[in-house]
Amino acid sequence: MALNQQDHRSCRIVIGLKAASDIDPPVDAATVLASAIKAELVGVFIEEEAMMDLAGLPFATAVSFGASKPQRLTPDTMKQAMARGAMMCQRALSARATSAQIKWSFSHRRGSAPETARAALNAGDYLVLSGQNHGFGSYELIEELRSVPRHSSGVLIAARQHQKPAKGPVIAVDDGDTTGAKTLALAARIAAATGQQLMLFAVAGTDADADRIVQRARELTGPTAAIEVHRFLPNAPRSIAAGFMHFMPSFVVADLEGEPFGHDRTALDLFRATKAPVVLIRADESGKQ
Amino acid sequence: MTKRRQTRAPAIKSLPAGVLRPTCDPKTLGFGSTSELEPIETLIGQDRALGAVRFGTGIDRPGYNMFVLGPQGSGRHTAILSYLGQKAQDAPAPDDWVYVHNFASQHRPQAIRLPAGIAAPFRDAMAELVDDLRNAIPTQFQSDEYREKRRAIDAEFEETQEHAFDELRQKAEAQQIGILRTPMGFALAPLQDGQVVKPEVFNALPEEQRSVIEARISALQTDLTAMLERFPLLEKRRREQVRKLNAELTGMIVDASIKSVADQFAGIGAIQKRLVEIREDLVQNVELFLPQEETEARIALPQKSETRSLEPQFNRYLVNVMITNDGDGDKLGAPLVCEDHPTLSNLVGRIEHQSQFGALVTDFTMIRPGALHRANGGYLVIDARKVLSEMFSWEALKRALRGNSITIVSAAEQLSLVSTTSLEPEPIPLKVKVVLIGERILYYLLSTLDPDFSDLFKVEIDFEQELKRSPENVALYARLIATIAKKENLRPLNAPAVARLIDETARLAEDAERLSLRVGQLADLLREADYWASEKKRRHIAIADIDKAVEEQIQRADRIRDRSHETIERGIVLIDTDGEAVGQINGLSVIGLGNFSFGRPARITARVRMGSGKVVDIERETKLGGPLHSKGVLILSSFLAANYALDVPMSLWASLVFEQSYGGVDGDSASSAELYALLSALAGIPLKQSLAVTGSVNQNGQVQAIGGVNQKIEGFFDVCNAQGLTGKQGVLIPSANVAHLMLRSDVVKACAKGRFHIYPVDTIANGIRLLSGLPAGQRGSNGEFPKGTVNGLVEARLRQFADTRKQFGSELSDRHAPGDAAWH
Repeated sequence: MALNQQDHRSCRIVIGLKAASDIDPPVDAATVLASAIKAELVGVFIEEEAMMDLAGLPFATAVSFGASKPQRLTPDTMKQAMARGAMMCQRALSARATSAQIKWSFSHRRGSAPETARAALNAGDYLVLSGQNHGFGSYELIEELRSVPRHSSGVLIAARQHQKPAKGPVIAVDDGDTTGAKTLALAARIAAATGQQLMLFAVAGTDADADRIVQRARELTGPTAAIEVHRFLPNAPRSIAAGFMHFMPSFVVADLEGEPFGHDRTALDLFRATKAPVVLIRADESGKQ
Repeated sequence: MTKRRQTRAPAIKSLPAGVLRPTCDPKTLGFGSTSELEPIETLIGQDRALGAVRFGTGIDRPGYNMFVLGPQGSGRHTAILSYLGQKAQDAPAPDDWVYVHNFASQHRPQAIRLPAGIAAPFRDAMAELVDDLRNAIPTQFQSDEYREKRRAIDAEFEETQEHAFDELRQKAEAQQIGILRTPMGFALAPLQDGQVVKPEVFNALPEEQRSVIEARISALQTDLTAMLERFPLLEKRRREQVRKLNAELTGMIVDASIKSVADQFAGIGAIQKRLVEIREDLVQNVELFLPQEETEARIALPQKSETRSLEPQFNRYLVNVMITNDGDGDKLGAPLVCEDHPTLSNLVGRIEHQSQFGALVTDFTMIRPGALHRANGGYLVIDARKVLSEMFSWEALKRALRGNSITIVSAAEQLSLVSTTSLEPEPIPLKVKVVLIGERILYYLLSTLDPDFSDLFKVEIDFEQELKRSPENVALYARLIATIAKKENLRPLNAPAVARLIDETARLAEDAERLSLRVGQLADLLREADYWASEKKRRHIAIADIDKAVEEQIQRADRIRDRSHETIERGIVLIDTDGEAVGQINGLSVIGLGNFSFGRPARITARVRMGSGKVVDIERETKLGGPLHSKGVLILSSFLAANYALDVPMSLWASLVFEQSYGGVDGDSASSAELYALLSALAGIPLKQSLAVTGSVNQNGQVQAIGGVNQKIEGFFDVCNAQGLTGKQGVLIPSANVAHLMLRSDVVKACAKGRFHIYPVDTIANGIRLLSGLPAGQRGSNGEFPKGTVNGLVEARLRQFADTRKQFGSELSDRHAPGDAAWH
């Protein structure tokens, strides 16, 4: 399999946007990924039923960071906030997509946020999740991550605002399985699109396994491609986290279910360590790539 | 007896040819060619001015700036620059000045004085320091040690936050309450099966149950609010910890880099002080040196390209050199600056702006020096007229001199035309000698009208326009000619050519006893003579080349003169050069056209009749006459009133006019001619039209000197020559003008042959005798003028007017009944 044989023509990047979420990080990260794989951006603004239910309660109030007084919530204020949020999301998506010359669409849906976004996914699509990974957001993230339908290609976890490095290598984490090859191919595309260094984190227990991964990477990227390889032992997520902190990647591509993001706690630690958008690719059920 | 006295009065003789053009004898010069002469380094005939320059440059007191007076082409610029150049070269080089960022108040850039020649190395050292830090700081901040410490701080913060949230979340979930993130912040809601309880379900609950839920939510909300209030404090503490960590690391890096700069400029207090300030700022603002991704929120999109070449964030540590006096190994001396275009910004400097996203921004690196900065510690030479004609420049110059400091202001700011971010750079102390060069009229006007002028420009340097034509000065003048020829790389002049040139400069001075010091005109003539010598393939400039140069100069400029004379020859302008006429005379005027002027005869006529004692100046009445001309007419009126028919009222009405004059008349040089015409009209005696007259007259009938005597004589000569010289033609000039005669060779030749005459006249009495052939006549012991004299005839006519007027008045009064309005 060579890079130029990768076909993402039918692939879409679905961004589930909510009025309460950060807009820029997921849209920016999605635009990079869409540019790299020539995919369409699909913005789905979700008017969460839970929000409307909340606003209908007689005692509903909201407290923001540093605010001394809670703010009273009513169905009207919530509707207005939703409308404002939808407009901002559409504007942000339109600006980025137009600038990057990417096809895009935007729609409103009402329902539960995770389910509604997941329902918008077609086979082979990527789902973008916002990585507001501090506090209880982290647990929500893992929960949403594990709920992504199997027919999708994977998930893009957008980094938290103010933390994303604009420059740095694009790291592919390859544990030697079939999905690992896909991570390298996708990382190579992102690296080419953003003009960043391609870096391979080969997760291998033996030298032979490591050699195989590197050999496969050379075949995929071509003999002249500049690729920097680092080897990590399996079940050593702290080493990988240290690698992320050291190289400060601009993008990370890994296996959603393999090493090392397959474990919830490890995944959370790695998100914190990278501070970069992470694309987690789902293994093809048929095993065909 | 009267008759005897009149016959004894000597007849006025025309001047001999020798006084009409005193020439320089080449044999008296004592050299064959100017190549034998030593060049002259100083100006000749300008002792007063040079003394003033020495005084002005020597005195070290405020307000002793200089104003150089003198006409264009007098060598003022050259002389001043030459003297100041030497003076500046011998003076020590002044200090350097730089502007730097003011950390305390960024809109007021700080001016720093540095020893001469230090500014540029300091600027380079600071640029190098910034470059070093740009590499060193990010490298150190990427070290494992720093990252670990930083990560520990961040992790502690995040863990604290997470722990607090997790604790609250667990506490809430235990009570079936969920924490939701809404667009307006965090909110608490009752949960049922993990979902928010719908309002209708909640409202349907028993009141007791609802109260319990609300109480729980209320308690949790208190906790949530308290937690969220703590987060900004936690964040602040995190930032402080990071800042402290950064400061520690930066201090170590910066100290090492700054030490090398401090060592390089050891002993220079201003630089050491500045380095201390820079260190403090660097430690506080190390983020400026960290890679952009650390602080920039936006991710780099594939199609984006960013240029970071300018990197303005580092400007605050750079140095803007305003003035450096680096002699590059040579002795530099004090600056001598000539500002040829003294606009406000060229004078006091300017603050440039850059357009960024439609807004104009600036900083101290965009401050540009003006002439005052460049001349600080030395001399600034400016053309007075130019600085006065540039908006705001004169006031800015005075302000700088008064305050002994340079403050940069823009014209737009003064006019309130812009309202954009700008700077107020700290004023730079000023110590400069300003030399203004201008015409005399400007000096006198400024002295009169500008109260500050006399305090600020106390030294008047007045350049002479002429030099006395003594043998010593002629020898010096010959050396001046030789010097110009050598400097201009012209052919040397032989002695006759020098003599001819000296004659020509006397003519330029309009005085046979003076030589013109207008070096510019002299140099022009020499250059042109050299050209004509080259045409003739001569190795020396000869007399013929000087003549040719003069002739060609006139030829190029005298088209109007030719046309003017042609109109006279063709009889379009009526001028008689023969015969006689009553109440008519040839006056002479000078017409100036650029650098060329020529004489032109004009017919003046007078008419008289009985009246109330008024002489009408028609030029004045038609607003073609200037004030000086009117003054002349009033003087001659006064002369009439004071000399004739003193015992009767003046009963004259007379009119005077310059015939066929359409362009205006000014000056009083025709007042004697007007008086002759008036006397002729009153006496009824004809005047010779073969003569022309120039000269002003006073109330006592004395004829006074006028200007342009040579051109006037030549103008009438040309007309007579064209109509045919008769031997009777000539010009009456004031005797006082004889010393000014430097007539053209052809005029002199005609006079020598008796074909043309120049008569020096002292009084109206002498003049009228020449013009009418009759004696003027003096009042006898009986108080009356002799009969048959001009004065006698004039008085008789005036008495006749008075008698007639008296008779006419009584007849008129008889015809009117008492009570009728009186006739005036």
